[in-house]
Amino acid sequence: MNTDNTKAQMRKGLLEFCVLSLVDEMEMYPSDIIKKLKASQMIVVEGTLYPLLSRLLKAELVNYNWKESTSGPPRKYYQITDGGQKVLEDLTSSWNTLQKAVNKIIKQSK
Amino acid sequence: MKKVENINLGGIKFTIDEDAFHELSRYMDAIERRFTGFDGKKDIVDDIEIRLAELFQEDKQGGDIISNSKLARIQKIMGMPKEFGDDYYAAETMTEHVQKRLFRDEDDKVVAGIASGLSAYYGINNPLLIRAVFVFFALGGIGIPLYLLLWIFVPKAKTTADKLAMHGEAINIETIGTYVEDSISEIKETIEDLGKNFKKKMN
Repeated sequence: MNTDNTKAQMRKGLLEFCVLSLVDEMEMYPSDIIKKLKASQMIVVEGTLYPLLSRLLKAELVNYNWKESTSGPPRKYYQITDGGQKVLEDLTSSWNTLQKAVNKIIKQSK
Repeated sequence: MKKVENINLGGIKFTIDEDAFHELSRYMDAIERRFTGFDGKKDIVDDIEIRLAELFQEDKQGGDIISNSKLARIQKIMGMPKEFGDDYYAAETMTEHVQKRLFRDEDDKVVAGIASGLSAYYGINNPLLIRAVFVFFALGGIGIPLYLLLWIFVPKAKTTADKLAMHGEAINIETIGTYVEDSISEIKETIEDLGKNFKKKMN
């Protein structure tokens, strides 16, 4: 069986959660978000991030500020909103539960 | 020798050779098309453009002028529009391609649903066209026997799975869900119509 699709689905499901977690720590510029996500192999192509950010923006889970940059045009810095924080808490607890549940099943079957 | 163009990408000036210029224009158009109808389209496309500019600045290989090979490296990092997989928007890219099958569509029939079945099979929106062809052939004498043969050999779409295969749609929870919803609302309408007729008759 080719597991690529399954792996891709796992990553996709968790991508939103990861992006919210990243912008919760500090405000971030898309390229910084991309670097972090790529370093943990959460995204394959960068283009994936932008529609996701736009969706989070529309749902008012994040917002952005323009900031001057020393090396080029002004940059958009994304940060989490209060609503986003609530969603993040919800997702964090559900991720913890899921992770425990899956680990338990894996251990049992060994 | 190659002609070059000067462009402004995400607020930064670049020099690009002619071939790469055409390819980049096509690429940006494809990105725009990918997000047609999205609320945040402008934001998405602007952000991507800014990021592309940054990637071009970071790529020092082969000099400053953007060539097709430089562009190809950057496209590999950014990805092709069809790979921008935010499932939330791109649900349709996830459904597998399904082999279409020819069925008789009894939900939309004049005689036995051959014409509407054929239209679904060939992706024609209006079965009227096929019906007209049958009528045309009927005048020449082969339309009616041909229709009868198809009636005998083409099965009718009975199950929801048949109906989805008839339109070439993948069978998954979502498509079945939509189909069932459609059917339920149709049934509701039929019942309402019946009710109205009944009331009229009673009055």
